[in-house]
Amino acid sequence: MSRTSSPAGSRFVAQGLLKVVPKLCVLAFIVVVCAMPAGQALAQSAKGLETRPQDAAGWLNLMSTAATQAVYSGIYIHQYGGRMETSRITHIADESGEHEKLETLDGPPREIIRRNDEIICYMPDAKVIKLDRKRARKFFPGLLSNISNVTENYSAKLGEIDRVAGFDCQVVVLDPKDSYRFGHRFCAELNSGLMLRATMISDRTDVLEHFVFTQVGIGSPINRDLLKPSYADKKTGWQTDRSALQEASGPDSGWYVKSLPAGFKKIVEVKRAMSGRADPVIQQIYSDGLASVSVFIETSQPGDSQRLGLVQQGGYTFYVRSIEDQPFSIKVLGEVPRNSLQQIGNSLVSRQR
Amino acid sequence: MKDNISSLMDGEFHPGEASELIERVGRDEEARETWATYHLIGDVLRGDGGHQSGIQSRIFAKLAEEPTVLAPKPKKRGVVRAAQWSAAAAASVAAASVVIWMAAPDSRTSFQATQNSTATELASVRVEAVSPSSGVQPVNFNEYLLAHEEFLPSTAGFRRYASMETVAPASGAAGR
Repeated sequence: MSRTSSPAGSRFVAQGLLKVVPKLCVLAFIVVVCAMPAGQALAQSAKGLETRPQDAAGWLNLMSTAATQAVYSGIYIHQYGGRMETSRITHIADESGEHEKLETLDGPPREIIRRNDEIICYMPDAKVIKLDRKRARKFFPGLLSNISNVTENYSAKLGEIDRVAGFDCQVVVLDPKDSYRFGHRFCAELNSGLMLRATMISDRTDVLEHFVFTQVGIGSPINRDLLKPSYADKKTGWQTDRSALQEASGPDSGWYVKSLPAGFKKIVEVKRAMSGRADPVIQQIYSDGLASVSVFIETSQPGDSQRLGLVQQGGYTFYVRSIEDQPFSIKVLGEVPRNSLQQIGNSLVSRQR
Repeated sequence: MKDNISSLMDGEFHPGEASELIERVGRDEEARETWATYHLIGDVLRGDGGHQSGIQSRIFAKLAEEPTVLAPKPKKRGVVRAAQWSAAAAASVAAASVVIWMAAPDSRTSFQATQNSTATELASVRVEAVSPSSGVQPVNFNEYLLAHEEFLPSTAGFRRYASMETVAPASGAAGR
């Protein structure tokens, strides 16, 4: 339509526009609305996810698989027991499984190289290479690995959309169903499902433990050289510590917890030498998948009975007891409320006695 | 009991008998409440207002509500709680002595001393249960903490390897 100089023509055009514009607007709106789902789906599949999980359980599963199957690298902060520690993680996954490098960025330098279950830790200040296995251990952001029954003991619900390390993420809330464990809050990156933040909180909303990425890259290819240890060619004079491999899983000691809080299972039992202890100490780890409790069983020694009950040490609460008429001393600690520690400690019995 | 408290407030007790009763008032919640109520009545009669009403029960209720110690928790929280406790204890002592000063100047000194020690005992019992006790420390808890940290989902267990070595030279951890 060309402009016209006559006033009548102008009026005609203006009237025509007045009639047409609302219709155009409606049409444009319909087109946009219709086009939106297709456009979103395209954008998502380009970034990774076909469809986002609809419920909390779906997000928990996605966080679990993303930690092992995604390619990512970043820097995270871990706060617990009054400490704050920063680490860099580089993680790739291929047909042979997981390859991961963890480097401490503060405190003593450490490089932890993990290939699936095998762990090699380089400690340049101690000139020690420590060999270990992952066993039941978990590393952020893989806190939810091997969790199938988490909703039996926690009620899961979706929270708001938050933002961590520059990424939008879905908050997932896990509230304990009883008083034997603490609650958790996770935030999963919207497109990959990678856990960007994990917080353990008490019923009084005190933060007990906190993991958070401050910077992270997700999905971009990673040069495999970045996964190699920096100290691999400087190992002269270093010692290799295989103690962790040796202390693993002796025969069952016969000790078990009679009234284990719901959902907790024994995940590992080791015997280890400890300073000031004549006999080896049995350590059992119990976990409900999110929180873990260590139970130490040792032959009594003079001085053991000087600190019984709940003892506060290093940001943790220990529950210490001796067993009546038996020469054993028990210590229990873990990321659970005090009543949990006490119930586990008090119901520890030996099958052999 | 109520008559006794009334008599105590009127200064009709011998010092020896008074201290026993005062101790009981310190222990017995009902007696404390009576004590406070009588003083409140006295205050109102003298036109001093009712601002102390229920202050003791409120303080003790607050103390009872104090968070139980959870594991793990930051070290400094214990210190904060201890400080809160002493502040609360001091507040209750202050509140009690204000009331006494107003109504029973004669028995003020002895009651304050008793109340003071009761409050301190209370506080120290609670703090004892949640903080490292000051006595001998034959057991090295750090090593157990390290053993537990090995199973935490972090680098914590690896970070403190060197310090574990210095703590535990006899553990025979390093070799070959």
